[in-house]
This record gives sequence, C-alpha cells and structure tokens, in this order.
Amino acid sequence: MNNKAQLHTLEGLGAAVLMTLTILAITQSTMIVTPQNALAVDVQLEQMSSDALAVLDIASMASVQYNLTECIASWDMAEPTYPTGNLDNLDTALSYLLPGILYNVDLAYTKSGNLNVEKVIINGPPSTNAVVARRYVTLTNQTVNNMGGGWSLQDDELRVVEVRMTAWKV
Amino acid sequence: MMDEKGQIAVDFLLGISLFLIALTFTVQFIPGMFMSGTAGESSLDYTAYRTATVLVEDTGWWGNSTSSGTDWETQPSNMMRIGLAADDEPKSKLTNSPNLLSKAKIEQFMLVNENTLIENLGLYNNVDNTHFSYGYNISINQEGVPLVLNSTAIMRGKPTPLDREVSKITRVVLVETGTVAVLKGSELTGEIASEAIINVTGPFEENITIQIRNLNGANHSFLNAVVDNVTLTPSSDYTIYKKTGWTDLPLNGSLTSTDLICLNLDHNRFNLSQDYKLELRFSNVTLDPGPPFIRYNNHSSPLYEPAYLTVEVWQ
Repeated sequence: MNNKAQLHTLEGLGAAVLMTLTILAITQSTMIVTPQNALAVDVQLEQMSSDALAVLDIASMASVQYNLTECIASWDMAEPTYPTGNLDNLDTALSYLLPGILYNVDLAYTKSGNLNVEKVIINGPPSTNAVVARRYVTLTNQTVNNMGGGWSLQDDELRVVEVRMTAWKV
Repeated sequence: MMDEKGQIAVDFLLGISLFLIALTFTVQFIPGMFMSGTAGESSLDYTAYRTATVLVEDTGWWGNSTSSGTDWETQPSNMMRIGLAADDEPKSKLTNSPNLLSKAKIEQFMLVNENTLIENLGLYNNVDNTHFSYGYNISINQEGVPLVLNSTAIMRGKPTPLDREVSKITRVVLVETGTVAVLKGSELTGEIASEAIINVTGPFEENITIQIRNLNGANHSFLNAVVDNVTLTPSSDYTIYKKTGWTDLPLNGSLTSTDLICLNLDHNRFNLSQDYKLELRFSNVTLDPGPPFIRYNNHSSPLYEPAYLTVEVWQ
C-alpha cells in the first residue's frame, strides 16, 4: 500500500470526463460565429450574385427574353477570347441585374465520364474578395435546338450544367 | 518522510493550473468564441440580413383556431408572419418561390400597423426585456426609384440618416407589377387579316401588357391600336416596344418574326367593369380569320419585373 497522493484509475476517469464536459458545455453554449465587418461586404455580394442567377432562372418568358436555361442552351461550345465573352444574352441579362459588379462565368458539366469546365464570360482576373455563386440548369435537345446552341445532345439525353459565377466588386 | 496530510495539493494544483492555462489560451486565441452576438454594430447587420431574407423568401402565415394559410394578406387581423414571396397554394406549407414577390402581399405590407411590423420583423433591440425600436427603411426600387403599385410608392420607414452607421442589404427580386398575356402570332385572329382583335374585360388596377412572339410577315410593322373604335394615342395610352434581355427597346420600322413585341396599355382605358374590344392593326400580316377572338383575361398571368428590395437598419 502506497500512502502517497495518487489518483486511482476510476477517479482519474471521472475527472477527465468532468473536464471534457465542462469544455464542451462552454464551447457549445456560446460559440457564435460573428461576421466581422469585412464579411458583411462578402455576404451582400454573395447574396446579390446568387439572387441574380436565381431570378434569371425563375423568370418567365414575359419578364425576360431568355431565361438562364435558354441562355446556356444557346452556347455554341466555343472557347471565348478575352475580353469578349461568347454568351452575349447571358452577359446582357446579368449585367442589368448586377450594376457595379464584375463577374466571370464558367460552365461545368460531365460528358462521357469526364468533368468539363469551360469559360463562357471573361471579365478579367477576379480580385481577392471575389465570391462564387452556383445554379444548376438541365438542358434537353429541344431547348438547345430552339436556341440554336452547339450542345448536340441526343433526343432522350438530359445534361445538367452547373453555372458557376465568380463575382467581385470593382 | 511520511506525511499523511495535504498530500493531494501539489498534483491537484499542477493539474488545475494546466487546465486553466489551456482554457485561457483557448478563449484568447479563438476569435469570436466569446464575442456576444447582440452587442455593437454587428447586430444591425444581422437584423438587416434577417429582415431582407424573411421578406424575400417567406410567404408569411396567418392562423386562427379553425384555419390557417400563407395568404395572410387576406386575413390581416390573424397575421402571424409577414413575408412577401408569392404562393399559388395558400393552404399548403410546401410551396417555395423565393425571390418572386406578390403584388397583393406588398400592398398589404404597406398597410400593416407600424408596431405590428416592428414586432413581427424583429426590428428592435431587446435590453432587459425593454424593446428599443431600430430606425429602418424598407423599399423596393426599380431603376433607382421606388416602385409604384396601385399609386403607392413601395417604401416604409424613415429616410436614411446621414450621421449614423447604417446596415444595408439589397436583394434582387422579381416583383409582380401587373398582368401580361403572352400570345403567339398564330393564335391571333381578326375580322380583317391584318387586324388582331382581343377582347378585354375590365377593370384593371395596373397597366396591362400584351406580348406577341413569332409574328410572321414580310417586312411587317405595327400601325396603331384601337379600343371600341377609338384610336389610342401612342405614349399616353400605350407604349410599344420589343424586349431584349430585361430591357425594353423602342420599336422602330419593320418587325422580324423573332422580335418579342410588347404592348403596354394604360389601365385607365379599361377602368369599367365591362368588355372592351381591342384592335391591333398591323401591315403586311396575315392572321387567321375569327371569331373566335382571343380573350385577354383567359391568357393573362402575373407579370414579374426585376427590382431591388433594400433593407436599411440603424440604431
């Protein structure tokens, strides 16, 4: 028998559990992610960007000439050369909704098992506080043919395209 | 040497000191962990963001002991939540149409009692259970000026003060501003081949829009519009334009079959509860003979136009 101060196994375990619980209780109850002032600008920009894509997507034919799906369907599949994009109807619609904001638009889609990411609107290199907004559209051969695009889908084929917009303030 | 008293102290002291040091370190070096969410300017950011989100994405809700629904604009006294998002099925909780704002809801929003609005949208700071209202300004703007619905400019609250820090959130939305009938050229009929006849049943609160797509012809153009044998005056009674993107371009000269022709008619021309006969005269257009003629009211749907909803909040 050793009379010196010592923690026995069970007591040790008990102490460890108590400490862990205390830390958990503290962190769980007051852990609030506070947006810093610089973040508020990002929140606004992010909100505007995703709103612009959403609004363009849900707009009916009476509100806008071509909605997001139709704009994407009209793409001729050619890589643009800076500074001219090659999806003008999308560019016109977005620049109307986002005054004072610059953006690049990429399209991401899978074709025969490969992921393709293509640039369609290039407005220059994004600044450091750029944000990304995404929206998915589904293309059918009928939409593509109506819009005269170059997607060349089968009649029974659906293609889901991610519209990826990188937006930043100038 | 053997001592039976106070043996635990040294180990315990070491353990608890280590623990306290670790805890202090954690608290000091993880930013935001103990920062209160209700102090300072940042709570205004929350309030502005939350208010804009509730208004744009929520349909609102009303309820009493027997019934409930999202069409709170028809039941202002039983209103439980304010939200402006349009909803076709007021009895279901499932419809979700963020960014589409209903005209009826916006009009009712303008009539909601000031205190109810502040309570409902949480536009106050809660200090020891006493509510201090924030100053706020909520507006829907189109091309820089407040949108006008039913001759009311959509803006609530006070003018933004210049001497204080203001939190502002802007959302891009589609606002219901009136009605539109989208017609195909092939659907139009007339007694004369170049004259489309459309029956319109009044009255209307807002201007009505007729949109015609795929109107075929050779070097064809629009001549004029006639209501009940009275020729309308351009620009005061109606405007005609073609839609390109979101914007309206003036219609000059001849049309092509891909043009989206839009005719915006002044609602004062259709202000009685009766049938009106609207004739649209074109040249070089061959329409199918009628009757039957198109009835505007059977083809009309809400017209949504892009606008910006802005919420500004200050102490």
